[in-house]
Amino acid sequence: MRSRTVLLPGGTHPRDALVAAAGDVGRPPDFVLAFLPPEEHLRDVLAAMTLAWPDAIRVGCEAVTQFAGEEVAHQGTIQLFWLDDSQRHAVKVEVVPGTHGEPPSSRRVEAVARRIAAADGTLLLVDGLRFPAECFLAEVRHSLLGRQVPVAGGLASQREPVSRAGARVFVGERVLPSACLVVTLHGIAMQVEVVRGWSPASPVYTVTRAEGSVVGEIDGEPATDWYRRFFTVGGELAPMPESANRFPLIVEGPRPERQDLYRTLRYFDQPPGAVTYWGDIEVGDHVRLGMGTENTLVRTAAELSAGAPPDAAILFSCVGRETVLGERAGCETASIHHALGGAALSGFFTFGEIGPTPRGHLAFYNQTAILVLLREVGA
Amino acid sequence: MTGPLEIDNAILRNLLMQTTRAYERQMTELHTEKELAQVTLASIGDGVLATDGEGRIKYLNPVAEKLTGWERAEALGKPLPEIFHLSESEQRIDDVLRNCLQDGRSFHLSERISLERRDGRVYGIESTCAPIRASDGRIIGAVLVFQDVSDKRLMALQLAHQATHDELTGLLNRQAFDGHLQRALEEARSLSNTHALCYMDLDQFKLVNDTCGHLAGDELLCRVTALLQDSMRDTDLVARLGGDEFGVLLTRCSLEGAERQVAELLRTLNQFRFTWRDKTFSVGASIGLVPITRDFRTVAHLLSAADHACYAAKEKGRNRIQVYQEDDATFVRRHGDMNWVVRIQQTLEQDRFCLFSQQIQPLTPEVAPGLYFEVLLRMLEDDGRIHLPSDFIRAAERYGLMRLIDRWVIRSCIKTLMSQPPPFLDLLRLCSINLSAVSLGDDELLAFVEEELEASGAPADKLCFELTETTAIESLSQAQRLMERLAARGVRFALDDFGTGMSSYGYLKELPVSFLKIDGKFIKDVVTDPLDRAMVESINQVGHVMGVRTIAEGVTSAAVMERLRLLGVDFAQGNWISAPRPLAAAAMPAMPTIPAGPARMPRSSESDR
Repeated sequence: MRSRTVLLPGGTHPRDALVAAAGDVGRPPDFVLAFLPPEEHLRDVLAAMTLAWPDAIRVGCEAVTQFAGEEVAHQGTIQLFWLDDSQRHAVKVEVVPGTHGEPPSSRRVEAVARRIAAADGTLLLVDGLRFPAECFLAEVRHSLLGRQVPVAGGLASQREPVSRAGARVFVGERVLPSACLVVTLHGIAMQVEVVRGWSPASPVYTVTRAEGSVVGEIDGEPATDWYRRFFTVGGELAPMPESANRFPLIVEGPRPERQDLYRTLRYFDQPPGAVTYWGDIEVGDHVRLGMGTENTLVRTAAELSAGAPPDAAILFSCVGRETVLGERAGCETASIHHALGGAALSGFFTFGEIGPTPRGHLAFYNQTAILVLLREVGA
Repeated sequence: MTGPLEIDNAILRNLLMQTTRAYERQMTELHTEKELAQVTLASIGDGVLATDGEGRIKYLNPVAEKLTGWERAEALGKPLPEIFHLSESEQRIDDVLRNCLQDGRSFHLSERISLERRDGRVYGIESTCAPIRASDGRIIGAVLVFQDVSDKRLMALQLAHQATHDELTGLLNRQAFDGHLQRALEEARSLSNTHALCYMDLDQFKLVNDTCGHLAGDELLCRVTALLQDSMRDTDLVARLGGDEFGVLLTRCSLEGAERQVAELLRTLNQFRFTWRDKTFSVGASIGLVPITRDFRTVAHLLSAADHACYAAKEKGRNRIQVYQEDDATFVRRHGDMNWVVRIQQTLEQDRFCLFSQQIQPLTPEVAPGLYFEVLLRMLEDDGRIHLPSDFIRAAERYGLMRLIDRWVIRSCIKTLMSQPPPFLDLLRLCSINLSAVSLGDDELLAFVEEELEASGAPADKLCFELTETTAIESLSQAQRLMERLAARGVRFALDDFGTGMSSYGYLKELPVSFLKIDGKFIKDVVTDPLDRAMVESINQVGHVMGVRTIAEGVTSAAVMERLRLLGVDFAQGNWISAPRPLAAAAMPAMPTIPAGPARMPRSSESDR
């Protein structure tokens, strides 16, 4: 398998740039993964890709900040894949629509789980705002019946204030709100690494009231009061939720599938007395605050041991990390790109990461970077 | 507000402070919990012993120290089996510990284990062994909890003993004896082993009990128990089956051998004298002996045979051995009795008993004129035949129906009397009702009579209850109690068949008796036999000295009646004077008499009542 990452030049008609990027291979790519800025020329770029590679499988999602090699960009990134043997290697795409925020039916989820189980790896690209990603993942995990198969992905991102249209995904030229793309890889080995870089920074507490992503009480205390214990500086509350980005919530069980999950604070005191995260929290979860700096995050990325260089890599890094990294956002990507021996890498800062827990359970993360390493089987 | 870096630093300080506080709080809690756990472990009544993952002692509480005999300082680090040594147990503690540590499961040690303390003393214990896990689930040791259950086991043994043994004598009880008989029967069937069953009833027990009290009775039973145990072989089983009834299972013993052995026992009993304060009693026994053969289907069948043999020994005059023989006569009689039982019950249910009366004739002018009679019982058949008590009383006594019959007689008699025209009660001086020995022991009879008198309004002073001399003497204390209570209401008492029991006159002083009925056998030849005359004269004189009226029974002729009159006897009774007739006709002298066989029969199983 060959892969190449293309940083779009910007503008409304990138067709020539696209054709030029693939020109030296001698044939159009078999599979195209695109992470494109929301709204800006989105449909033009999709149309250009159709013109350039009408027969390729083209999927992607909206992303505010994208990666291309060691670069961090905002104008859009495309990763091209050429499969060596179309008999042995294949990429298939299935669209799972969400209905008014409700998860798909059980039968549909079971069918998806069967396809995931039959594949060598699966990428999930999900509307980051309107598709009930966590419910869907929980259902898939349930349907997989404990089978551990490589699954990774991210939630499309939007600029604040977020669009009512959601953070969309696309297939070909079809832009799909409130949907999930299930991209199954066949004959392609997929390795998933979860890059963390956060250290425990507080005692462990227990969530005593929560529903979905809203936490009302921790250890019997209103969640906002609990946060105030830590985030009151000079008698005033530090700016929230920004200050909390560097101190994400770590979920430490006790249920096995809820080990080492991270949650980014989304809203403070909304609803009053409660806090809202970019991911669900359950009553009974053992939680503590973590801490990390751009240095610890970058160092963790640099220490990543990926073994032999992959044919291609995809990085889904949390928007929370982007906030913490600030000006050094590119350093994490560069470190990873370097650690991978310069393999073709794309990706974006996501509204939520999908990857395995340490025990192999499919989980939804915040504040991590999920690194997907692809290698052609038998190459 | 300061810059982001300062904010982060301030937050970090807060985190550090919160963490420190939480750590301190947890340390305090941990310390408290540890203290609490240690105090708890030191205070509980169970022994607790903990090991590490290698099975070496890490902890033992004071109770464990006491029960193992090892002090903590000495025991720490030693392998568990060295400290916790099971005595004579199939279960090995090192196996239990290994399984617990390997499988991570709890084990309950078998129920019958004992712990041998360091000094050799043995305790019965109950124990469980459970794994200790670290927070990550790893097994890091085991905890053994054990209790001293020596007392509990001893109590259980005592309870088991109590359940199978008689409290007074320490002999096997009826239930346990039945179990041995069952096995003996099975052996007789399958192995053709020969065993014998001896069923023994003490003859004098009631007398001792009544005259000297229950303590004396208990002592007699204990002394007889000792004699029994000394007389029988070690392989024989002796049991107390009831009040004064004993059973002996003579194992692997021919009938001839059993007879010899039981005869020896009876000799020993007869030689024995029981002394209680100033009284000395000889002891006899009626013994039934049964060879245990495959012919007996059940234990109940076997015991029934032994009981019948014992009863036969009594009937033949007590203090003897009767070997059970299922001969025709016995069979017929036993089954005859059973038939009578059914008929008595039916008669009671259908109210077909009927009351007759026989006049008692005053002989002296000192006696107030009026009606004197004895009430007699008859059973009326559907076909009009009338049965005398001699036909059915034995069965009624043997199968416990006398109590019902007595009550029926009392109630019916009072009802009949009260239904007569008013002049009858004015004329009535004495209505004498027979009372059985069983009713003397009926605690509820007194209340029954009182209720009947109360409800009917019958004049108590016109009623008289007849007890035989032997019945009254044998149940002296019961008779005394009943007679005194009823006498206080005006009811009078007569001692029937007086003279036959050869009792001491001294007993008369103990009982509130108004009449002595001199047995007919002294009356019959009173004209010709000087001895009989002397007996009658003696009884009459003693009675009169004690203020008791005398009644001569079985008067057969005018000469006899005249002689009785000369001797000063107060009343006479007999078929020659007046044959029995229905009670309702007692007030009507013109009514014809009923020619229903001999009007007067001896008491008890052959008595007229």
